[in-house]
Amino acid sequence: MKKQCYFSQHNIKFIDYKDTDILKKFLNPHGRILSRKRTGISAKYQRQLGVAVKRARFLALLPYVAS
Amino acid sequence: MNEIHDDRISIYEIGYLIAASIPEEHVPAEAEKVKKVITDAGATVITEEAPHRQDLAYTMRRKTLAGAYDSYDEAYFGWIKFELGSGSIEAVKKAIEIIPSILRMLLIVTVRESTYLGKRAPAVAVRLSAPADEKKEAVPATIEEMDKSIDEMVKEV
Repeated sequence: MKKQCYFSQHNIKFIDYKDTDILKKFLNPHGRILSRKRTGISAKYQRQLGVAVKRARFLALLPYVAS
Repeated sequence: MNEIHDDRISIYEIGYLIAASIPEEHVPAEAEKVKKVITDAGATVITEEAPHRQDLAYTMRRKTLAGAYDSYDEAYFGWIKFELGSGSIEAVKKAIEIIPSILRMLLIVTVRESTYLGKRAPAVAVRLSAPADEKKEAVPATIEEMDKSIDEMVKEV
């Protein structure tokens, strides 16, 4: 069965880089962004997610590489 | 052409890290410095969050005036969302970057609506559980209706 987009389901229009708890759901244990294939989120939100994660990494809210 | 761009009002957000070497009692004053730079440029503050101490995801290094490096594992993170003309934003960015206590800052273009869900997360959970309660209430009602219809059928027989 096809997964539904997390952000569409929760009516989140704009992904904020400060919401690290949400962003962490889409990272693997090494801190890398999971693919859309794994998470089922739409292309629109995958692009927003990528930007948000990179902003959070810059301000050290998320790691670039997690051990 | 430039004049048209200068007049364009946008919503910006600045997230900043204040170095943990600053004593905790001086942090509000440092945050006020950031806010003053923004308001002096003619911006209208929409929302803000006061800096709070937090662990950094990685060690940050910053070159000191002496040429050595300072390492930081903790910092005070705060943010401020405001409305400002695009002509003034570059000057604001540069003015905040040179404040000595600011370890790092990030300027983004954003939307007026509140996008930060951190504090509202429990509210969403409550809202999600609400329809389930309604369903529970609906179930006894349908059973009563069924009982009534069954009773009517029995009477007919």
